[in-house]
Amino acid sequence: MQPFETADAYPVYLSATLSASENRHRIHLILRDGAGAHGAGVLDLDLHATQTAAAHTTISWDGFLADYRASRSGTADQQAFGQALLRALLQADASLSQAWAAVLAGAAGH
Amino acid sequence: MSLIVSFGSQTEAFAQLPLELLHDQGQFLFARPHAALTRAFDYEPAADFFLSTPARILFAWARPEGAGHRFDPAPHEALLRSVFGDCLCVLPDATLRGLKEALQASAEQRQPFALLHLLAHGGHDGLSGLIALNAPDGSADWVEAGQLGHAIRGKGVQLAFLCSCQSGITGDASLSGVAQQLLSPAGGNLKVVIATQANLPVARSAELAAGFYHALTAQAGVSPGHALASARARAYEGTPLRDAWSIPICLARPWLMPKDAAARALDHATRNTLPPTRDSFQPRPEVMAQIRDALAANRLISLVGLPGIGKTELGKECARAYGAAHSDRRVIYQAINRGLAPGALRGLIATSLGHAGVPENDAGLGRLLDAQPTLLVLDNAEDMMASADTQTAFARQLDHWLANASALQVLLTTRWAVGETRAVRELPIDIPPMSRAETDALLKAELALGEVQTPEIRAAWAADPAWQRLLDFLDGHPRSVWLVSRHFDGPRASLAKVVDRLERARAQAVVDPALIGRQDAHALLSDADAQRMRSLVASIDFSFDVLAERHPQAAAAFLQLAAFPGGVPESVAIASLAADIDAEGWQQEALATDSLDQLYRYHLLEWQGSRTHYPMPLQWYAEHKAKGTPRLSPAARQAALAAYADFVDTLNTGLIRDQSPNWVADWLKEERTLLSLARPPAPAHTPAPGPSALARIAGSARNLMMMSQRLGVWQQLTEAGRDDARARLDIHGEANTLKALGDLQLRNDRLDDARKAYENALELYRKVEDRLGEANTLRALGDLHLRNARLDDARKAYENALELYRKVDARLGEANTLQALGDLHLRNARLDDARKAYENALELFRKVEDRLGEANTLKALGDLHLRNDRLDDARKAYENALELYRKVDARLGEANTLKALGDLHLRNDRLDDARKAYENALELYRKVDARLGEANTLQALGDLHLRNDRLDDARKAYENALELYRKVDARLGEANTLQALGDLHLRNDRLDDARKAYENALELYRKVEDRLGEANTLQGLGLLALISQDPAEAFRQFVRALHLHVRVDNKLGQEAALGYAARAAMALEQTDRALFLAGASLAIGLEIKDRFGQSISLQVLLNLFQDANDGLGFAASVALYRNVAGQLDDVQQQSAMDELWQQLASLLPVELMTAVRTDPQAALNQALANARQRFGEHDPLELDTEHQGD
Repeated sequence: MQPFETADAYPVYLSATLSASENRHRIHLILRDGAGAHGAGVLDLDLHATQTAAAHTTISWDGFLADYRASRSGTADQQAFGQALLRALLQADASLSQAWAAVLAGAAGH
Repeated sequence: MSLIVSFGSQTEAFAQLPLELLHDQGQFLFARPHAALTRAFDYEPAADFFLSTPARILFAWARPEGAGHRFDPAPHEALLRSVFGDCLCVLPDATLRGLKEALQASAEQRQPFALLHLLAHGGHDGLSGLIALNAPDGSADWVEAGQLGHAIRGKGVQLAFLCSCQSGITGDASLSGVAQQLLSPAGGNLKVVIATQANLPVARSAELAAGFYHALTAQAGVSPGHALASARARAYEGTPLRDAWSIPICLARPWLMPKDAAARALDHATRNTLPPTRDSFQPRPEVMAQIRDALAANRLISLVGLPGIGKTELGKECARAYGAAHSDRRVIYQAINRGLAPGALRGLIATSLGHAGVPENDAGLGRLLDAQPTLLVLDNAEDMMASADTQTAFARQLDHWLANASALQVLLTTRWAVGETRAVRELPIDIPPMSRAETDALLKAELALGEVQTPEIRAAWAADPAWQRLLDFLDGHPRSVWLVSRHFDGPRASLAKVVDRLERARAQAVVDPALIGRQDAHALLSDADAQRMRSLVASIDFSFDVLAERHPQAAAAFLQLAAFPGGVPESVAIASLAADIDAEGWQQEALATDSLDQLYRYHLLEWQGSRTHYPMPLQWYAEHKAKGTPRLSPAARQAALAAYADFVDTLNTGLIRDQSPNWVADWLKEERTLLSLARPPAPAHTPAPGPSALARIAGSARNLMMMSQRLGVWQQLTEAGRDDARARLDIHGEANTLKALGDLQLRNDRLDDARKAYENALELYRKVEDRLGEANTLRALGDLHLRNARLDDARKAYENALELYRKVDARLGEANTLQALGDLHLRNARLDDARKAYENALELFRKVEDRLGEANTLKALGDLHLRNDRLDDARKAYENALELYRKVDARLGEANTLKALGDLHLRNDRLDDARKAYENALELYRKVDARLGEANTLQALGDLHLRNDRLDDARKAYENALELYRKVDARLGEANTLQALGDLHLRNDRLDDARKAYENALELYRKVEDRLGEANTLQGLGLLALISQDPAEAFRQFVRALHLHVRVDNKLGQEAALGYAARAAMALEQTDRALFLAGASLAIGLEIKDRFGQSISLQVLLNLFQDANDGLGFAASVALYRNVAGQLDDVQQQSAMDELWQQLASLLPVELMTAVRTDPQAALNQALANARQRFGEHDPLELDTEHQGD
């Protein structure tokens, strides 16, 4: 067992790197677990853009982050942000959403 | 779920996001128990967290005037006391100095605080994270992150919990956050930090912190991430912290996961290794079609062109498209840096193919490349051809790869063609400049990507006449576009002014031959190309001037980094630059990092992975500006070496844990720079006493250099480390380098030098009371004694090492030594001791979860069981070993075990299983290019075919084995195969071939002084003489064989040689001599309980007594043969002897038959004694004229 792995843990790894020095907002993501789930894609991270949250709602990420850091956000805002963030990560590439589904299934069965 | 997010260099924008809030299917994913999220920064060296109990904790709090709300620390103290009791110490109104002293004092008393709980106001000013401690006068002392890191560094703290606002925020610049600085090896060097990414309501956070500590210390082995998950889940479940549960986050140093690393290695080996497409890449259809067509029909293609003309991007994208269109083909990309040695290039390619062990030569790499159709892309190949000599050497290297890998294609990007290859014809393709339309598209893409001005302004510029002048200036040169595109930023930017300035710069630009790389290539430049080069130089001049005006420190950094011509890990670059910056310690690194950021932004520097390097022509420019090869200041050199020591430690730790090829690849990229740092041209100062970073590097890099076959580098670096350690009076460092030198000498078969180095190291380790170092050296000495066949000395050394390992509780060392002792006992035929040692080793390997060690010991136990004829136990051990080898992807171990299983199946007469095992082993040996293993397996397959009467297959297998043995200069293997081939030819009646094979084998056996092999071959030659109707010659060969078997105390061989000699004597019609010899053979058979051998001797005796008309001897032989046939379950022979016995009963006197029935062995001995008496006083082993016929 590794130092950060407890007996009941289901380890999942997400790595975020840049491909080259020219653009710090194109984040290369790789998601995988020990059972072989593997997805990779590029996230165009734009904090200023308005993101889609739950159906028919939008959220401004930098507005939320400012509120969050100042402890002004409530549970509903946090939920909306969490949904939008997950959506953005998984939409970076179809293989990421497939890997995520496999990870959730694997973790549930663990 | 335990999500581990690793952030690469410069990913601060992403790391700032509160990933803890991820929400799916109606719930927060990390607001549940057991749902942990741990953040790690990839670029920091790995470190493991381990909390020994009972853990001591220091609770430091500060609420200075003017820093913010004056919170009440009492709830924190009360709850921490409830968890830690007497192990809690409180530091109220903490000052930076007070904090430092409290930590220092406890460390000195050997009771360090493993945990630091800090409650204070915090923030981030954009440049650095800050914590408000008390100033001596009670006012606020806003302590910068780096300053805090230095204060707690090296005092035994493993984990810090920062109850301070925004302490987990990364900021825009690398390493600017408080948590990052506390984790950084150059800062606090902690393993784990719990910090906050927002303002945490202090009054309510005590309960969350106490919940965290409770979970962390309740049982051993709970990770901080899970302890925090548990505390957060409770906070979310209804405490007043419901909206703030996600604010505390867990940040940790990266750690090493074998499975993950194995997956990376596998990825590496199976998919293409091309770097991603450049974001602004613009396709160039015409030239790309030309390259595509060339790839379809050629094996060696060179994309030739000016520096920065776009060769790399075109090569990458054409290779990508080619790989996509040919799914069976792997695409391996390897960038070449200046100064890369041919051996290092071989290593880098091998590691890209997924092999941590590097082949010894280029033919070996060719065979690895041959395993699968491959397109190998070598970028900047001109750096392998800096002179005519190195160009020829590179051509030969390519020849070896291409000749040994029939489905290999090589695509080079280079400033000049190789031109000298022999294996295949090189197709050079000249890369032209971009068309005007392509240049226009690339410039627009670059400006848009860099968000330069608004889209409206960019559109207006494109319509401006100055835009056309800019395109004229750029002249289709992509590197110029990239450099220039960064200079249109800012509210007052003017397109026309920038173009004016560029045109003036071009008029003054000078292109020196070094920019092209070689004088001869420079002389061939066309006028248009020379003009294009002037534009490139002007672009760089312009970029550098702007940088120098706006960011003078970054400009200085640009020049200083020219000391690392092959690139450098970013952590080393930062440390080296920081050392020369005139600022407080904690600010130096921030400023150095900022300089690097500016250089990246201006495209004057790039990074790949965790390395920073100049784009192609800029190395030349930096050197040119710095007036030749620049030298680092002593402080910068020392800082670089210290940072390199951390870096190499990480690589070594990784390699030991998972044997992934990535660690070796990362090492190979650094060796040249390290060599130049190790031996500065003229040391200008006397080193100060203290630990030698160079010695640390040399010690840590030992495994990496061994795996990468860089023995020359090993020697140079280790000797430099030893000298530096001596100069600095660093005894421990000197001991480590001496031990590493001993290992190197051992590897080079210089056994006496190795012994001296180990003995010197041992003395030094004892001096500084380093028990672990002493134990390691004793074990190495044990190995050395074993090589010298001084078995007793080896045993003593191992036993002493074992005792020391146990004293310092180094279980891996103990396990390895027990395994070595097991091998030694086996060699001494102390089989029971060997078993015990192996079993103890196995238990320890399992405890420390060393799968490879466990697998190796299981394999050794399997071999031992085989030797004890416990075939079923052997099979089980092998099968368990096989499973483990497969788990850790140790293919050589897997192959060896399959080979052993094949041998075992053969012994169990499961011939088909044996064949399958051998064939699988063969495939693996070929994959890892282990030719000795391949040859041994081919030989075993030959033996198997022989047993199946597939004589032609056997011959082919032997001949292939022979070829391989010769290639790897394994003379014993060659001799064994020649002997087996001799036997085969004998069976096929190809007597002349058999003789030649035997004679060749004999010569080799004599050379390697293998008496047993020599004796067996002499027996083969004897049989050949017997078949050739030359019994006297046969007799002499058998007697020679007998003498050799006596010399090596091989009873089985003696039994056989005597038996064969008896047959030869029989052919010579010397019955009494033959009887004597067959009787002697039988006696040995009885002594060693070889029933099969006894049955053969008795058959010979039967024939001989019949010839001699000796009723007593014949009857005794019949009786004894019947008994042996019974023991061998040979029913047929048993009944035949019964029948014969009945016949004899009617022919021979009753008394004689009664005597034989009562004691057949005594009867036989009597008959043999009669024969010996008849033979007289002559030597039965000496042929003489008197006894040419009885």
